[in-house]
Amino acid sequence: MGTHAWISPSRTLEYPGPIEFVPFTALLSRLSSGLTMHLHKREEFDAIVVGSGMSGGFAAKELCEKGLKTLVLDRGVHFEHGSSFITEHKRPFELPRNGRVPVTEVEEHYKTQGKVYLFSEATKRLFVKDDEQPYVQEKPYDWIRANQVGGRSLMWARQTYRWSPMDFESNLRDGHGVDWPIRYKDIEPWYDYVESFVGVSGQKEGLPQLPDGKFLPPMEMTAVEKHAKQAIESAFSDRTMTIGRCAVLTSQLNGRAPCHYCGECERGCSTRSFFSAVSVSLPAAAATGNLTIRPNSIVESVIYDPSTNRATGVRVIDALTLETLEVFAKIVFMCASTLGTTQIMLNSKSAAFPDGIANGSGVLGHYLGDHHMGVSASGFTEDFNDRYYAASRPNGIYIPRFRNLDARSARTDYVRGFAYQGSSWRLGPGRGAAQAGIGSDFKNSLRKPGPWEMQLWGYGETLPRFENHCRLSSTEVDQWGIPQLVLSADWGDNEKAMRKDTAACAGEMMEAAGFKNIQVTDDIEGNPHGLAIHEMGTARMGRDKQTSVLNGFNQAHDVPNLFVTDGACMASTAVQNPSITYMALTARAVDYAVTEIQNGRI
Amino acid sequence: MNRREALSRIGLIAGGTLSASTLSGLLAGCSTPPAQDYVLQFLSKEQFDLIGSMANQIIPDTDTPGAVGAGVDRFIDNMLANYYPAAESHLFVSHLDAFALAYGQDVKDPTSLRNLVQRQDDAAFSAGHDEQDPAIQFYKKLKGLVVSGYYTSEVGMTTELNLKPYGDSRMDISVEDVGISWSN
Ligand SMILES: Cc1cc2nc3c(=O)[nH]c(=O)nc-3n(C[C@H](O)[C@H](O)[C@H](O)COP(=O)(O)OP(=O)(O)OC[C@H]3O[C@@H](n4cnc5c(N)ncnc54)[C@H](O)[C@@H]3O)c2cc1C
Repeated sequence: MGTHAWISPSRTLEYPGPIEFVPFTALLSRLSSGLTMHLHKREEFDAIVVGSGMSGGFAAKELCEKGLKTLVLDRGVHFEHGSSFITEHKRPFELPRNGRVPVTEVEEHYKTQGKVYLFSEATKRLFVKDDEQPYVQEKPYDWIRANQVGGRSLMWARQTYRWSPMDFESNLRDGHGVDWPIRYKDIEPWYDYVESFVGVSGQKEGLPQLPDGKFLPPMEMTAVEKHAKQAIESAFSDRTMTIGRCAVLTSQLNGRAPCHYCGECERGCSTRSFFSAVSVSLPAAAATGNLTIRPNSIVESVIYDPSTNRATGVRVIDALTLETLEVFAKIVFMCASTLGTTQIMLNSKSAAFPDGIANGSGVLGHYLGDHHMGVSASGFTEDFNDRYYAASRPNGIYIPRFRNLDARSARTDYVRGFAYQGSSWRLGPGRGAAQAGIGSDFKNSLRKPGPWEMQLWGYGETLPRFENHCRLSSTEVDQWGIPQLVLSADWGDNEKAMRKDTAACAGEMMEAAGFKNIQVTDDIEGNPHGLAIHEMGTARMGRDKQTSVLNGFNQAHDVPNLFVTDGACMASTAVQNPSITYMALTARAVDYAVTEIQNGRI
Repeated sequence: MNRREALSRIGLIAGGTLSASTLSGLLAGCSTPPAQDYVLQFLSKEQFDLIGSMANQIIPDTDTPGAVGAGVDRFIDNMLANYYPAAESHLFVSHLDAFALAYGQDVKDPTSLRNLVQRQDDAAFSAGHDEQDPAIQFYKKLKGLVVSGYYTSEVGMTTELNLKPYGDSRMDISVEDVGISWSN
């Protein structure tokens, strides 16, 4: 990714000055020097982390802080806090075509990535070009990818919800999938630990299905949301509406400033208020002096030594020089994203593991899940015309799951549940395009804020099914000679039944809150697997090595020094946005791995 | 937004937590207006002038500049050249030409043009209008471009409306506190 001609150097934001960010200043130079470091043939590290996104960034921080010399490999380009944030705070009129990506460019390069709601001229450089990294859609699958240092942590929507005790028991209870080898109490202290570092704002609610966390002060609701909350909670005693729990600071944390509410976290956050690997976890790793990070490093496979039954390192293709190199370490952490990790593992074939490393069970690549979405309700209100807001809040509201929690809320038509994210706003001047009128009256009317609209978007749990899977293509390879991933997943009857209820409940809540012109949508065709960007499974955890890839510490059953701590490890999807759980599992796995090393077991 | 205005807005920032370099980033956005010697990319001079005249009927000069003053004519030329697929842009322009041909000298006279644009608008938003009617499709596309071009322009965002400030976390305020709409 070269610099764009239209970016004038004067707009490049400098790294924030030392006053607010003393702890980070020194370490960034270390991070940079690590980037340029040349790897020597057969250089040995204590740990290799594949992928530098949400999971890999956290793995790096934990490993480095525990004293391990750690090499982080990422296939994408170098991306640096501050200087890489070239579109931060740019107005539409400072961007080409006021921020629109040409239709033909989307067709050619971003057919899938272009479906993401925040895809624009300001963000396109974060996404992969679909034509440059093709995959096979045996069934429609939107594989949303971001390859650069920081991965998709650079553009996530920050929604942060703990899993609950019932989420770790659901497989056992209803028999879908394998029993999780851990319970909520195993991960609870790690949620505490990770949240305290990430910084999560939210409101405590005391709900068993959505445990409270270590919250910074909550963000505020709009007048319409406050009203909807009150109306929904009084009409439906089983439901709660809370402000979104979000990985954006509302007060100082470890020298990071609170949010300045520009509302465009994905452009980069100079104040580090928005949690990303680039701004927060990788700098912490670099601060230890133990981090080496190498971008443009496409991990092709994991190297396996049958004589020791250990992963000894990884094979890397340099994306710039196409040179191949091998790097070695005592332990390997796979954090290349659910599908990225599984692709590498499937491609790591040896006599001992002809179907991919640590795949003695044969389930590697299977039980691919996501959240199903595309059920929504919107409505307008003529009330609260005297109320407005002064912030671009990087957050919305949340209605936690309320189905199949207990006998009272049990359903006969489906198992598991769904939740809603939502938000409200006053229509902006763009409404004029769909409105009659010309001239000064028209113009002056658009000067006033438009009517209030509110929307709810459902996210539903997906059952783990063997047939939803990815595998390596036997015919198609990418430009680096790596077999392409074939993706094959669809929605089952349980999801379809759940969607009906999701739609009905959304509509009835909007009605109870008095909205008008309510539109309820269930667009299953437009929302295939992948588009919720919560893809999970494919190297699942479990108690039995015959039916799962990883044990309760994210350690491969078959290869004890190989760990998988991204979404591939998940044995079910629950309904919560998953990233905080990946990070908590990652921190827990590192803690375990380091103990195992100290005890001489790996 | 000029520098002084920007600074006074930044005064709103709670706790003064933004670093100096972030501030300079914010301020760098309030720079020079676009070049006056614009080189047409897609439209002929005649087509460009007609687009500008029609756009200014939809969003005229008031106490703030109208569409042309905000550069909406240039925005549309740019979108036709660089955003839409060529076939779509050519179709749009063929409708523009047809419009010019049909109304001859009328499009040159502001009052007549105003009436013409008003008629197009009435037709495009009348009850039971035909969405497939090419003239209606053309007009709606034009109006969409004028509105989006205007309210994403520097004039539209900073002079006509309020560019959203930074640093305020309040999500429930009196509308009187800001008076006019945020630009996005
Ligand atoms: C628009 C958007 C909104 C989202 N909103 C939310 C939300 O609100 N809440 C939430 O919890 N989650 C959200 N997510 C999902 C969240 O971003 C992911 O769950 C998270 O980033 C996954 O972390 P990861 O480390 O597994 O993968 P990533 O963050 O994707 O990082 C993987 C890294 O691995 C690298 N890699 C891949 N293959 C290789 C290879 N072969 N060799 C070397 N490196 C490789 C990639 O370049 C990448 O940098 C959102 C995602 C997007 C895109």
